[in-house]
Amino acid sequence: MFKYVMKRVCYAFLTILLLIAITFIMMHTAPGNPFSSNKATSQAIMDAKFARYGLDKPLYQQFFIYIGNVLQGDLGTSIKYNRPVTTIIGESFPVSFELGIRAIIISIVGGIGLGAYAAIRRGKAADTIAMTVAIIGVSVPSFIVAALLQYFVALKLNQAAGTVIFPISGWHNEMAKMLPSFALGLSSLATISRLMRTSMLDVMNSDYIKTAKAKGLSERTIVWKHAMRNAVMPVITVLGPLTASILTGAFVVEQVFSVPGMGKYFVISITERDYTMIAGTTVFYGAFLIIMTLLVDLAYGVIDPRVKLAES
Amino acid sequence: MKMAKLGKLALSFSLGLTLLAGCGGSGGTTSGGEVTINLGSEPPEMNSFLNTDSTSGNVLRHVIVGLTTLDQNDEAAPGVAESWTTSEDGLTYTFKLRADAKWNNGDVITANDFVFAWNQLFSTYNGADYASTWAVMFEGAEELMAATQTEEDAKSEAGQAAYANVGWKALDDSTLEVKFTGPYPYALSVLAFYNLAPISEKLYNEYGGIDYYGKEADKMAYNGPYTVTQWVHEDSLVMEKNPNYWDADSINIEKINCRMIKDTGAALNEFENGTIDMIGLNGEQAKDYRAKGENVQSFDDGSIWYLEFNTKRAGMNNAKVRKALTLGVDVEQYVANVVLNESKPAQSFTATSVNGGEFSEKVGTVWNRSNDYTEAKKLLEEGLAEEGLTLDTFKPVLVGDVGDTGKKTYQFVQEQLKKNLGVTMEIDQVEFKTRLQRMSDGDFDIVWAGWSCDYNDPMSYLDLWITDGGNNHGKWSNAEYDALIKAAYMEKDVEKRTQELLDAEKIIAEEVPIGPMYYRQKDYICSDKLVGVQRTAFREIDLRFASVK
Repeated sequence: MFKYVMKRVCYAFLTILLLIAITFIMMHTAPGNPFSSNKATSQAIMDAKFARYGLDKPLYQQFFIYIGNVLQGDLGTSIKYNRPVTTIIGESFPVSFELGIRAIIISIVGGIGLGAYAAIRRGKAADTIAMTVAIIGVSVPSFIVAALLQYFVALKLNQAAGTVIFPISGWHNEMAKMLPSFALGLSSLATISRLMRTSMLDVMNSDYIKTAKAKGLSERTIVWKHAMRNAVMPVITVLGPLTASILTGAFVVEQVFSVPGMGKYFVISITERDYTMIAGTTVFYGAFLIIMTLLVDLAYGVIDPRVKLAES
Repeated sequence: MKMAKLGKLALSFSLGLTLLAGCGGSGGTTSGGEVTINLGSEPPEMNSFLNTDSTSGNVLRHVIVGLTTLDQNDEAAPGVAESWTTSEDGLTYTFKLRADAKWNNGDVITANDFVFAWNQLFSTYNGADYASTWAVMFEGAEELMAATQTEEDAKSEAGQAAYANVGWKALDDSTLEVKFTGPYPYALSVLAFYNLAPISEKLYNEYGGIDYYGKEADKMAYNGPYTVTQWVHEDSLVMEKNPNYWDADSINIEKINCRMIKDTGAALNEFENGTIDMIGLNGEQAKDYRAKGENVQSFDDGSIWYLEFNTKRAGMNNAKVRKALTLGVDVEQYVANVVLNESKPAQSFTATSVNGGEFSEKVGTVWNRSNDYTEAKKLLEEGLAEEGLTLDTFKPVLVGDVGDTGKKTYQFVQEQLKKNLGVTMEIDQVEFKTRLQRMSDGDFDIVWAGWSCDYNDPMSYLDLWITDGGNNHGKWSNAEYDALIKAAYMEKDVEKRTQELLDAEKIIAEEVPIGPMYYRQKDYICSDKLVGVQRTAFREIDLRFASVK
């Protein structure tokens, strides 16, 4: 187990190094520079700014200096915002993370519940309704869901009630966090519910469930104790990538609800050629995703005793 | 991963390209003397001498005051300076500072606070973007910039000598002498610009110098009507009345909450919800509100939008061709169908918002736009023939920004030129930074570009097109024009100076280095409670004279 984890950590480290190298090359080949603006700046000022951010050095030197700084936990200063990248990430990531966690909880609880319920009520009205919801969730993009929620659930409800029930935007209180979390989680909820339904149907038709039924166990015991635990396995498999997509895909939802999260930095840093921010967000998220994947892999071993990590 | 990133990028453009709409009129929250407005984005820089961003400028306007300040007519009024005298030749100003001008911690503002701030501004190693724009105006500033490329240079003997020889001097704690390089009629209004505001050296160093000053609400000093009391980055910012401001009695609103909502749809919902008192509107929103009879307000933001021609490219090197392309676009139709608000077709280059429109009136209508394109077509054919081109071989490419808003504009121009002149023009939409790079590299035929002024004078527009000017991307060059601008710089006689600038406008009209399209108006709406908000080309958001009903 220990050996396996160490091996994975080494791979992770190499992956991040490669990620930084590729990011470095790509961002420096993109046309334009971080300091250009609509109004011309004198060459002397431009040179001074390049020197200030160490961009006057050869690229390979910048790369090694950067690696050295990263190892000391210094991601540099954002060129656009003039604040340390670690401070910006430190402020915005917890917000995105909380939004992501809320969305994941909504999608897991909702998705498993909806999927299992649809499977048990297969062919009945409840099944049709659940799967219609799932198809809508999968096919309608989150920015439309977000905009619709904001208009109908927040604005129209507030106007009807004559008071603010759901704030339109922001991240200031519990009610404000609900709609963005739901908007972000809906498509994963839909994916999980469809997966869960299929898996649950398989399990419910398997021999051991028939045996359980034959033994005269109550439906509650069969579903909760025997069927669910096995049916949920495929869902756990997709949780890794799903979590990744939720945590990195919040940009649009964050924008619509004006949530001060990290999503915008991915996009703005690239369009603004904010080199330190591009590299910083990439390293941070790269490391984060690699660690998450590792944790999910380890979680297999805990949940499913058949998976023996040491042997894999 | 790559695809996901590209997808996000595309989305950012479709969603992020919101018209930077204004905020205006009147709003209203429940508690007395408190309003909420939408800033639209995070102020990226609050260090006054480094800033060039208009969102930061909208906050700085309320919390920082320079020697002068712009009054309700956009004219320079006494700020930290209560009075001043001017020398006979109009070059030297002596400012007497108010005894009751204080920083928010209670320290009195001294002449040295200005000397320190300006020394920082013109120290090249600090990298202040507008330093070179202002340096031409102040004696010793260009020399200082030349001597301070690095911090080591600044510490050297030559650097120290340059600091000693600058044209701004503290004669005593409350007297500042400023020497200009010319008798600029706009000198006093430039002094109201935040780059030239005072900074307390003591507090600047206490807060950590260039790396930290102005990065957090409690990491900068304030001397204006308001102080920033809370700043949650990318989310909100709160300004509260500054009890140490000398004219605090004239300020009505106690507290201004600023939100940073980028999405115009979300901002609109907040306004409808009654939770924000002033928002900017994009063209479609403004049109809807106007149709509903709501009190949509607008202001001329001082920007002119134009086709910038690369005069080094075949076809575009001919004034007749440039003029024909300019006249070949029905700008009225463009404003009515694409811009969707009350923006005005450009009648000359200098925007109408300058000098209260006086200059524009004198220039008059130089572009006799009409729906009859026979003359434009004739001009085009003549011009192309002179360059050995035909309509089949002349296929210019228009470079513009990515995004739907831009696309509508470029496609409109494309259709117009095809329909009215028979010109086949292609469109190349690129990222903003790529466009800037291509402009400075001269890698374009035509660019859709805009300009807004830095100070309230036609010169802020007209000196763009001097030979080798940093913003003269089309590399147009005209000796007569250069001479006129140079003469106007140093001209003390106001009428003679105006005439020189008018003559320069005339040359633009004849030679068409750029094809003026329209002057932009921005729309905004206020709730019923917020009254007296002022928004102009020089004060995009100004709540200093506003009140809560």
